Amino acid sequence: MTLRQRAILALNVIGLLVSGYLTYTHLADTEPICGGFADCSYVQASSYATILGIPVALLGLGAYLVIFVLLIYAFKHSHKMHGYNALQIAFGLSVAGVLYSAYLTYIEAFVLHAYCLYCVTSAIAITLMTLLLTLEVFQHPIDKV
Amino acid sequence: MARPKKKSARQSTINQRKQAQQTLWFILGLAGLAVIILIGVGMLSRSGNKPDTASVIGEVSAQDKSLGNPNAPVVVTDFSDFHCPHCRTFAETTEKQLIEQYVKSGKVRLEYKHFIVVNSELAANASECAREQGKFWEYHDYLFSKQETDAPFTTDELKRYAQDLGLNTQQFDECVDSGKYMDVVMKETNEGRRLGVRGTPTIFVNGKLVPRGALWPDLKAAIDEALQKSGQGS
Repeated sequence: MTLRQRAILALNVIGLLVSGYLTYTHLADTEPICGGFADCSYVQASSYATILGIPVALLGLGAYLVIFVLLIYAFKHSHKMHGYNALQIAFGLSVAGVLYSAYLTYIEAFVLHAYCLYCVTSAIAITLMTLLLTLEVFQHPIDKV
Repeated sequence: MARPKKKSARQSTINQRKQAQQTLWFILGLAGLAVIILIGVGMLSRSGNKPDTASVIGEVSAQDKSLGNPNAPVVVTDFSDFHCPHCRTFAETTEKQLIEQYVKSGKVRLEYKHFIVVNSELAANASECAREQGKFWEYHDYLFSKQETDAPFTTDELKRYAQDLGLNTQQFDECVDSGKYMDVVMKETNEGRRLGVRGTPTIFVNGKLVPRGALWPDLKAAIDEALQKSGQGS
């Protein structure tokens, strides 16, 4: 596994941990520990934190999990076509994640006027991960596939 | 013989690359579509949720800090404090039943009065600023819904709620910053003291203190008695 692939997985794990923690606090109805400088509970309690009753954090956790599994598969079979396809799908999901995170961050900044430490962390992690994945996809030695 | 074979191998590589690129654009398209749907569904579900707090209030007429028929035979007065957990419980349970069963039918008018016990002057003043804009009850419900997570309320939080509720923020902010209605808040607290209020919430029915009035059975009994006296018993 290359350094870049390790970095991608590390960022994925950060996303998993953060969204997992937010899902836990949402479902257990406790307040996230927020480091005092952000408004986690306010953001979490807002109507933007759920879609049709499903916590957005849970959606994120699900997406990170699927991406993680796809990436492990893709990196193991990086010289096969189906490995490359797994990478493509992971990339697509990750791009969707970036777009949705951008929307959520916009909501935090301009609608709620409050930031949630973990949500911002997740947004940064998925953005970096997608940038690295873009390189991974476009610099893939597809000729050798 | 070797040349065409080599060419076709290169051709197939190019084809493969082309195909991979097409797949990629397809996947990116799907990703974009998924996000648009996600945001759309979120917006739709939110617009459906909105009347939640207004639903009870919207159906009865509100005048300042009163709710319901201005000429109702029975007046229920609630001395309350936005920082007090029992007041929240009252607002979310007994008060809702009261509105549902008596205020809507025009038999009872509910009025809110401030009684400061837990340093809630800022919140009380802010609720008066909301009243100034005709949104006292919306603000009242919103404050109690935020109490568990946010109380004691800071000035910034109080202003943010006004924004959430779509109030004129400039007017509201000035009102909060200047403590415009502090005298009203203190006046009502003092009035409560004179009337024998010692804690919150304390409930009066037609000017008579109802012991354990925050509990629905006790309040309901007191209201029924008052209605009976006024000749409008149910």
